[in-house]
Amino acid sequence: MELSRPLSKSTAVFLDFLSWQQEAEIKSGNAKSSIIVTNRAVCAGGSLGRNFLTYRSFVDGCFVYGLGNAGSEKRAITYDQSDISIYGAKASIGISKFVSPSNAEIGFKLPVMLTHQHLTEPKNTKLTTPNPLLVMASLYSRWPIEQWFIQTEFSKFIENDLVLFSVGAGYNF
Amino acid sequence: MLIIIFLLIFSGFSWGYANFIGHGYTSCINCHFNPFGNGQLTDYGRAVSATAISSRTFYPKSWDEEKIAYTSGFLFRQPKQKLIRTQINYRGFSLVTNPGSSSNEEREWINMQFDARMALRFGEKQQFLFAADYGKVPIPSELTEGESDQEYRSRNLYLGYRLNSKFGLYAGLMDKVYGLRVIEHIAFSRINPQITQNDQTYGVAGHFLDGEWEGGVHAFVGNYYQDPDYRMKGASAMLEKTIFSTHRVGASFLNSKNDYLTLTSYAVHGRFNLKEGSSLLAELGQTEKSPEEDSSITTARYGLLQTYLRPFRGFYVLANIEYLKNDISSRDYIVRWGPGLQYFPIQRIELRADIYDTRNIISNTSIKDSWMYLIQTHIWL
Repeated sequence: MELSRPLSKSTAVFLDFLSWQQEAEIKSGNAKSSIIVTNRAVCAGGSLGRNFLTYRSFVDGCFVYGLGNAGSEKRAITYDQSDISIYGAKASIGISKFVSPSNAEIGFKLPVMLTHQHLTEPKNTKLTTPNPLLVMASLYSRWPIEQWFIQTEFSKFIENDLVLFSVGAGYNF
Repeated sequence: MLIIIFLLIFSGFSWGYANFIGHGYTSCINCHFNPFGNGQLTDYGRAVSATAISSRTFYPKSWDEEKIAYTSGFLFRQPKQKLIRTQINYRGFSLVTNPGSSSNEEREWINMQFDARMALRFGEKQQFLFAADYGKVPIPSELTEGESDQEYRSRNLYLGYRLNSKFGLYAGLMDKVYGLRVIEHIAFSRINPQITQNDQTYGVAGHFLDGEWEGGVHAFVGNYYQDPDYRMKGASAMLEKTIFSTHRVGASFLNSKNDYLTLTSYAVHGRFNLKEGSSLLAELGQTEKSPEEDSSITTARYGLLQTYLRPFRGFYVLANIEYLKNDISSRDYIVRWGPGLQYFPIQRIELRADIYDTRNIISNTSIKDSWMYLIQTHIWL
């Protein structure tokens, strides 16, 4: 089955639902504990791409808004906080291969995400907040249904073992 | 040549693993003896597994697809009689939980399945069927109440009667008719409605397939490997419709009870053909559980999104996304996510690797994800 297609541009808008975890650290006296922050957010944006014979290269970007919950890993220091707002932006470059006549794709992305989130620092503690800039490596896939599509990402942060996953839908122009 | 012609004529009517709708197969009946899928493959199912699903890399270049299909039988050739068909299965995997953790990483090899299967077809039009299997199953390290500790058991033992191409009746030990029969028995969509690996039940099931419509009803009295007070008795039904010629959408309902629990489950699902072996599966359902000791009802909600993309023959890239809210009145829920790779290097061999990341979204705190790696080997004859 021939999967080649002429050179063309692709433009799309999408809405993704994301979830990711980040680590902070809290110290109180001689005790310290890591804090796990679990975020869930929406990311609304668009993508521009070029379709080659059997693959597509693209860039995309979206604005992130959501909420997070935080909890300390070691209960020697109790830290729990819920519904902490987080906002920011995420941008990626990527490349994917067409694997079917219906233009289903699998590929890789390199997303970078910049976010702002304020964790409350209790009295007599020192809180080290997570790095606001996150660089990831992602496994990406997209399934078109007519002009619409569903897309997923499974991303690992470069600097640690935490992951981001997302699922969303979009529309191709 | 006859096998190729048969495949071309009937290629719109068959298959088993739910994701193989991506090959154009909307119904399970022609490739599996069980019309709802799972269990032993028919001759047609074996031929398709060899010529469409598996890679041909390791076959001699001089072999055409007809030759490959011919060798797909149990003894590496087409049987010379129509009465009996046999199959042997082995599935084992290496499971690593909490990988990388110095304190609680666990590794183990699990022999998940080792069984022998038999199907007898008889009657003037081969309208009668007797299917059976028997084999070794893993015993969970912690048994739930009422769960059997039998190491050797049967998961299929039934008689079938096909009145015609549209209607069939099946009686005996079978899987319950409900939802998508995805491979992963740990899927929330299988655990919640109790349709997982040892949830077969004795009962009577009716199947119909008429053009774009397919469905089944099932009345059951429980699994006799369990103690009588734990056997779930009830009924279930499933209905599917083909849409846009290649996709399937459907709905299921199940109600069952034992001396301790009443369970009602309902779901909608879809199987979407993305062509050339790629597909998308989705299911969304709810399960209501009510203990007999009081009148309370806990409603859980689950979701499944599975994608299969086939970059080349024999190789699939998977994404598995699951959602579970154990109590819909709570804000807490669980998301399980992970990519996987599935490779059929040749017919009778399946290799699979999966990563599962389980994330708990808890309203007033946060805990780190838990991880699982699985590397699976499946061999069948």
